[in-house]
Amino acid sequence: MGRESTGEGRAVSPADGGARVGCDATGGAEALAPARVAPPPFPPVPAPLQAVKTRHELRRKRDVMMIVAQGLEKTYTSGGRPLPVLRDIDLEVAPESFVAVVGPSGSGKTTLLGLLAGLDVPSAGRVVLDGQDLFALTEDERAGFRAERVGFVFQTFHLLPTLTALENVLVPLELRGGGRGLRSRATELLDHVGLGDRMHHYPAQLSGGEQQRVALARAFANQPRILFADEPTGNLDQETGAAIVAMLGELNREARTTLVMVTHDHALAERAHRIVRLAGGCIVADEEAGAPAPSADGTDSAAPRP
Amino acid sequence: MKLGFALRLAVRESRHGFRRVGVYMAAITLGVAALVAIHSFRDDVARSVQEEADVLMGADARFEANRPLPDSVTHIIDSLSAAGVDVSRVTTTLSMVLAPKSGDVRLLQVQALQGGFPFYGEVETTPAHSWGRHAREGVALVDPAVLTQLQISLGDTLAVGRVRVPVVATVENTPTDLGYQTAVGPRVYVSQATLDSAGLLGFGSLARYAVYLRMPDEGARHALRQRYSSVLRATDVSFRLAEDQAHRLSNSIRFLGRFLGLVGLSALLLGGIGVASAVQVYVRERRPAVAVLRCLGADQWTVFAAYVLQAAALGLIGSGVGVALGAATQRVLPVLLAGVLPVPVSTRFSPAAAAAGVGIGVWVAVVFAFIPLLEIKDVPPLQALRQDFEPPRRRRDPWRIGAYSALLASVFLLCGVEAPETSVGMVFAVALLVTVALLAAVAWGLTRLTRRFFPKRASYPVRQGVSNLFRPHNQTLSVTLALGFGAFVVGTVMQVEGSLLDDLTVSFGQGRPNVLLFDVQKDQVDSLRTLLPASARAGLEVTPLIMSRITAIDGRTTAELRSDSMIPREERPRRWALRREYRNTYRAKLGSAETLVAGRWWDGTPAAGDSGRAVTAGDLVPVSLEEGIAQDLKVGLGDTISWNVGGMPVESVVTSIRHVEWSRLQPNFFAIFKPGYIDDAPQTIIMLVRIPDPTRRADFQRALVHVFPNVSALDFSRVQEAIDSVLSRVRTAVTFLALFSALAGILVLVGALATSRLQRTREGALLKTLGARRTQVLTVLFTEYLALGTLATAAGLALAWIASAIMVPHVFQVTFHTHAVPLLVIWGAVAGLTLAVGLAGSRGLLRRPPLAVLREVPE
Repeated sequence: MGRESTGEGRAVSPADGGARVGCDATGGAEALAPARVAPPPFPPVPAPLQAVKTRHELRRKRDVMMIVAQGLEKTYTSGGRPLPVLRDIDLEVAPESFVAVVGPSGSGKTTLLGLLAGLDVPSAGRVVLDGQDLFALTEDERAGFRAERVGFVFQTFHLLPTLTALENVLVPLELRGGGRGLRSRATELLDHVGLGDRMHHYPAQLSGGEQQRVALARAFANQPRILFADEPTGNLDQETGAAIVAMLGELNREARTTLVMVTHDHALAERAHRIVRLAGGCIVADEEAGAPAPSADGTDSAAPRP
Repeated sequence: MKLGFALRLAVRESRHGFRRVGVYMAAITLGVAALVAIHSFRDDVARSVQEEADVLMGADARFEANRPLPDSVTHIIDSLSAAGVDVSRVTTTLSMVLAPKSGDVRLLQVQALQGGFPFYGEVETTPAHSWGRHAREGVALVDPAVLTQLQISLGDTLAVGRVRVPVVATVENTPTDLGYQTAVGPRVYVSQATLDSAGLLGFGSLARYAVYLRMPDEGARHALRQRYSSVLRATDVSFRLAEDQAHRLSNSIRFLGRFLGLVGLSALLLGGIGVASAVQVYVRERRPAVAVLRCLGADQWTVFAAYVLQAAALGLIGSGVGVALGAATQRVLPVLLAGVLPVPVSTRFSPAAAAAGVGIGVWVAVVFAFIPLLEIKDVPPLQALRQDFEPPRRRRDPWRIGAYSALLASVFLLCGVEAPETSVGMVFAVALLVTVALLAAVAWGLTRLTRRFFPKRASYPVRQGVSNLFRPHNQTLSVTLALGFGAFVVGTVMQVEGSLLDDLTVSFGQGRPNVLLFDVQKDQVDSLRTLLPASARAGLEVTPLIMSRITAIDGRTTAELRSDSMIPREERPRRWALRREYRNTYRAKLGSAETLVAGRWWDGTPAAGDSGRAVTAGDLVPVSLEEGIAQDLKVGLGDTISWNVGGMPVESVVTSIRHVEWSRLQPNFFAIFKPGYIDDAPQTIIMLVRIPDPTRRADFQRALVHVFPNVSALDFSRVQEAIDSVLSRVRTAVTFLALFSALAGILVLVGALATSRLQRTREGALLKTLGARRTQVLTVLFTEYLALGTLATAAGLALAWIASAIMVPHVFQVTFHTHAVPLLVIWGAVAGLTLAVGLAGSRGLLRRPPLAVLREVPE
């Protein structure tokens, strides 16, 4: 449709990296002081955090990395004044890795997630997802791309209230199309998350934990290459939250999905391979976490697709 | 776009959405019901009339004239009769009829029969099978009303003119009857011979002479017309086949049906407004779900399509129910309009009307839902992550502009199709749009003004109630439109009706003559004057009627003018104006309903303005023309007109043009001659008298029939009763359909208040948590609904008043009078209704504990 325009800025070419306002220079008052001075304790995993210099290099990274974000910026206008939310974010995520994005509220976590998933258009910078430059696509092409390769889990579950559990899981399958067997796949997934007996219940008839399990089943339904999770345990009690996270990890391992999760639950973040800390719209830390990263030679790590 | 997915989603979503939007669809249902009922009714009437064409006329063909048929036509009839065609003569006139037994007198229609008319259809009589006895045996049959009006029973005699006939039966129902034809008076049926010997038919008497034919061979009928058309054209005799008459009748009924159609259409469009406002609320609720679908990879048009499909499905269901309701209503209309319709109307389910109803209903539902639904396609997927995220609004979305254009075009198209004439439809559409726009402006202004000027000292609950009118997502606009529009339709119907009835009362009422004497011969005027009660003599108006025809204009004969194809169309006199028989008069003074627009009156008084040109008549007779007929004849000041006045040639010159207010009930004329020229021409006299006292009036009429049997007296109070009964039936039908609009408005109101209930409930709970007492919460609600109801209705009624003030003089040509009482009654009723509906919807609010309400997660 072309109604989305990148408006405030185009993708920044790799060569003009120097023109960007760096986080270190203008972290802003809202940035946390200790985080700003602390350098990353380990070299970033698996790639060094630096601007890509050449087109060739970018192409290589495209092939290797599941997510490449370069010079990502987002500025909202609030009361007539520009309000920068993200400044100059560079981020690469290897296939099959599990990255947790943490930070205080207002640090830009959700904005970053939205941009990485192509739900919003950045003011500057670019995002390459599974080899596809997201903002070279129209709004509807991005939707099609999401239908094919991206899954979502939300804090407030976001099941469609008018659909049964089974129908909610069917949504991504039906959107992608593909004829027969959709129903049996949805049933299988619901069985897998332990809701085989509640398939025909409406969300309002399910508990929070059950709803989030349906959401997990829905997120994995189309065997996405990348799964974005936004505070998936934020609306659940601790016990239920832990169960959900365990299930998420398990599904992720089985499906060999790349997982990016926004959370401010530290215990949950520790289950990731890597933790990216945001503050004041900047990445202030990028470190390995407790869980071991997958064997990251980066060349043939994509999950085999059926 | 993925249509399959959209369809599946639509089906699943609609399981829940239906309840919310259902009440609005009920408004669509009402509109469709009204339309289907009217369309089917139109079909029913047209079909019944066609089916009964021959019964309606009672024959296959008819010759008719308002004077005895000329010899040329009589020859044709004689030769047809000789060829085996059945011929029957029916002569109808008006006469005073006396019942010697009771001494009562009434003006009745006297219908004389010779032959076997009606050839088709059964005349129901009591005792049965008596029809035809009057033609054979010299007895009389009467309409049942005659028995009651003259207080006689079967077996008594009636004095009709100079003869006395016994009444042997009553006529219960004639297949050819038209309700309004009995307005002048019930009928007495006698034989042609009785009529002749009664001596009723003097010179210039009001009578209709008809000859009916039965010639079942259709070809022969049409051949007849072709063969004799030149003979007939030279006379005033009309020749009509049964199917022509049926066609004309169904056309005029269709006209009425189409006016009713516009009333139905306004109910439907009101439903459309309801749908638009419901869908707007629905869309707001569905935004999170839409955002999730977009996250999951549904493109904007797929999601949009799913919701358009839902609107269409709801429209389909609403319309389907509407068709059923309409089919039921269809049966009511003939009952309401009984007596106005020419034939017994059989109702039959009309698939075409049903299909049209469903089509129009779905279309209106979709086209009105489309605009709020467009928001769906602009819901950003990001809203799934950030509920407060609002994308910047695009000012000029071509889709939005397109949707509004489609809506406007649909309104014009529907009005154009439904209206009796396209131009009427366009005016109606513009009026509707202006009304809606003004109501919207009122709603907007209302919120602004109350916010600005409402007294700050008012108590808190009152201030809170008023401020609710302009809170975010308020229903002020849709409630104002619903109430205002409903009040507008009903108010307009009432104002117009009131003014029309007023006009009749003025025509017949205070100080106006109430008895019309006609068929008075010139030598009877003086002695008739002495017969009048003394009080009535002063106000007596005597008007001579002179039958005349035009023979030439400016020296060119009418035959020339009619056949000369060289005359350009716009300069050619209208055929009917050349051919008609004129009832002219001579008179010294200008009447009260007349004003000069050009030339000078006899006494030299010029017309207003600078158009008072004097025309010297020379030795020609000065004549004053009515402006409309002058236009149709294409003549102006100074043109000469040659007349045939009762066989005598009269050369006249137009010396003035008059404007005449025809709606005033008094004798008015196309042409008035200056007195002193043709005063001795053959003429009959009409006299207008005022006799206020009913007993004196009856006495006078009784005396009149004894002394002057040829003179007829028409008592206007009887005419008024007859007109009232026809009017009241039409009024009932119109009001019945206007009720659909009012009901649709109420449904939209109920729906609008229901959708904002959740918000209100939460607000009430919050207020209670903050320490408000029950009565205070109630006062808040009471104030809000009262303000909304009174102000919106007042706006609608004010617009109704303005519309009637414009429409009454221009469309109905009647003076407009304000009828404040019905307006006030509607005002009070609707405001009360709003309060009742609003408070009834909020009763759960007060019963439930605040915590339970506040903990509910808003969907």
